[in-house]
Amino acid sequence: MRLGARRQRRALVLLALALAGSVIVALGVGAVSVSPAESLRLVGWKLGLLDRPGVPPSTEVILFALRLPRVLLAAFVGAALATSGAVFQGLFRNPLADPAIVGVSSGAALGAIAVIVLGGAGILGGTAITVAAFAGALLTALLVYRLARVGPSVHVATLLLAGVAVAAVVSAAISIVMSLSGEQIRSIYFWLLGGLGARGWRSIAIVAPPILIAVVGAWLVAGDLNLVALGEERAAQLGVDLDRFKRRSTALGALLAACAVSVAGVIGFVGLMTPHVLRLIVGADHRRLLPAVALAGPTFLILADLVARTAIAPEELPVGVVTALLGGPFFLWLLRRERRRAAGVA
Amino acid sequence: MSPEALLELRGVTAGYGVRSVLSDVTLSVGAGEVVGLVGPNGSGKTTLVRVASRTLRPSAGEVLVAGHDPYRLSGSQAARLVAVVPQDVAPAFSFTALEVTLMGRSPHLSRWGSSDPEDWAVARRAMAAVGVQHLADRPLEELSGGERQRVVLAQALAQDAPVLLLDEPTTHLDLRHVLDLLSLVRVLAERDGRAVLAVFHDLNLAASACDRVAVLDGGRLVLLGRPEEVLTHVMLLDVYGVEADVRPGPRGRPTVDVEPPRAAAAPLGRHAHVIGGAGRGAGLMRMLVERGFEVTAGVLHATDTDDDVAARLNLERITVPPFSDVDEESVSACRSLIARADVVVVCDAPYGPGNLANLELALEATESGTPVVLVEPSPIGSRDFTDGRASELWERLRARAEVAGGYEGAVAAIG
Repeated sequence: MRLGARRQRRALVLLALALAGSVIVALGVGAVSVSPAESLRLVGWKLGLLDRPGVPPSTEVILFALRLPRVLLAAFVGAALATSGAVFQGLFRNPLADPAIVGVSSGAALGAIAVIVLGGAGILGGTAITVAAFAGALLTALLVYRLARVGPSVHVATLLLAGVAVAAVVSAAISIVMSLSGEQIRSIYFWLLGGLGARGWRSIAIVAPPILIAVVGAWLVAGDLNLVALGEERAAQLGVDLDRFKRRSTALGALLAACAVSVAGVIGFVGLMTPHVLRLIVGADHRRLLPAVALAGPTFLILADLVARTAIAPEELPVGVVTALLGGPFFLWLLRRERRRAAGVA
Repeated sequence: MSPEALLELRGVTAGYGVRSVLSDVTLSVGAGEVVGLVGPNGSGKTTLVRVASRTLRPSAGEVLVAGHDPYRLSGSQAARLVAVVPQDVAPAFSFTALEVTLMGRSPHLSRWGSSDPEDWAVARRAMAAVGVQHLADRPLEELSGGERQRVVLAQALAQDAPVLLLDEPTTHLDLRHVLDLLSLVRVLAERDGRAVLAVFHDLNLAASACDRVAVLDGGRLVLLGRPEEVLTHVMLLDVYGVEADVRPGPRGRPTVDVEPPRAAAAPLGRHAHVIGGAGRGAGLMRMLVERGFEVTAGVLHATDTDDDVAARLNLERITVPPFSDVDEESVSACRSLIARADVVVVCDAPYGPGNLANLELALEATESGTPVVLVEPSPIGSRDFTDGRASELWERLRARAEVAGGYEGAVAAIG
């Protein structure tokens, strides 16, 4: 299988190049355009590698205060959502599973909204919402996990159902809070739509370390995810400690989703779709798939965010709208093509 | 049994929840030995495989694999000792045949789980051994059932464990591949010294491939021995309820020949009461149950084969202690069972003072208009240990009952 190994390395290199390209494009495009050369030289200067290039100070501000944090945040959130989606789809053996499945999205929203309604949005230098959303997401995931656990074993179908049920209850609670919130309904609505703007370096500082750790941690359960795809009993026969595997993968998936939701709100389709598309390119082996989605998820979200902020400039579209508008049809096209190919029609 | 037993089950009882599916099973498989596991549906074969493969912890007794209790080892330590071939796998995602085979190497991998050239080589060899190397890059879901089953076998071979458990490995295979698999299994045992335990539905395959055959019935190990000792007419009748022709085959292994009985299945809700004894009723009870009759039995003596079989079939029955006479209370209990029956079958048991009451009960049944069938392959004279009283009753019964020469005939008469 030398060929396969070479093809796999080539796919990863291409995905990495696509990510780098999307970063450079996203840094350059906007009300003021910045050429790739200027972007690179400015970044090089900040890193202490180059002398300060001859660009206006406004360009420097646009790059470092606005675009770079936004692009980096999109990259981290995209990696978190895509990896979380791949882990949950593998854990549940279900291609429809996504990062919201264990209730983290609604939990995060409740946490964020509680802070907004209580007027604490400005506390902790504006990071109170992020911290509360993170706590809400993790607590909900923990609750769902406890509900699905009997003794040392977790029944994954119960986990799925408990997630859906808890999400419904929490969503109802959010609706009640919103209908009573009066003045603040606009900022709540804004948060719920999700977005990567105006969150800045502080958000990155909060979520980047856990995302990096959990993305790499997920690669450690990749082999087990492969075996569990054959069925739980078969996985156990091949040596998987099922209880430990489920604990770890639920924790990793929920942590990644919580990080993403807490800084960017609910952004759909990245976690659902990225693993599917990448499975068609690099195959189902999670040892290849997880690194691949960690490169492709950021690319997708960076480009979607670019569209979100430029399509109707100076107004912005919610990035979740763009991921759904771009991702939905593309995904459906891929799905149809695959089905036709499998049926031998095309 | 053998000094170098690789797989040992000692007094294993196991089940799901409070329901025991296996009770007190003791069995060992030595290095280089192939043991076949046979028995009717629901007799506990798959449960035994699960217990031995560390997926169902026994509620009593112990399992030893190469001297270790697998339930005390880590998952991957145990998987290096025991490999299982399940009936089928259906991955949730699209893996190629080679990827699936490589997964068999998992218990040997490091934490980071990357496969080294040695793993690829082992997987390649395993695929070649079962003739699927040409399918390496094909997605598993595009393969036929038989091809998929061979890939799963390759996966288990790649696991390279000294104990191999096969759960009906031939279900989806055509004749050519069945024979290839059986010869591969022999090679794995004889050349590599592995211990193989394989579940078979086809008794002729079990006879031709195995050194020993174990028969499970109702969760108990009822027979264990060389194929020619185990696969007999009596076993097939007792355990499967099948009249079969068993003969020594060309290479000394027994061959089992059966054909579908001509008797139709029972109409729903038909109730037959069987009067047996000395094991003469066992096969008949089994046949009637298989054909959908509600079956009751009695009066039986405890420890008699018939009582044992009736218990395994979970039949309502009247039993008295061994070697005692049938008492008045049991007679009236049995009378009420017979009163509910649509038909009474009297088997060709030996009759002595201890069970003469059974013939009187049958006679009563004819008097109250219940049809009675006598099974009479041999005349009553040779089975009468009552100085003629049993013969007298039998002749009176004969005048009012239908007489059949054997089980098939009796079932035909009832149906």
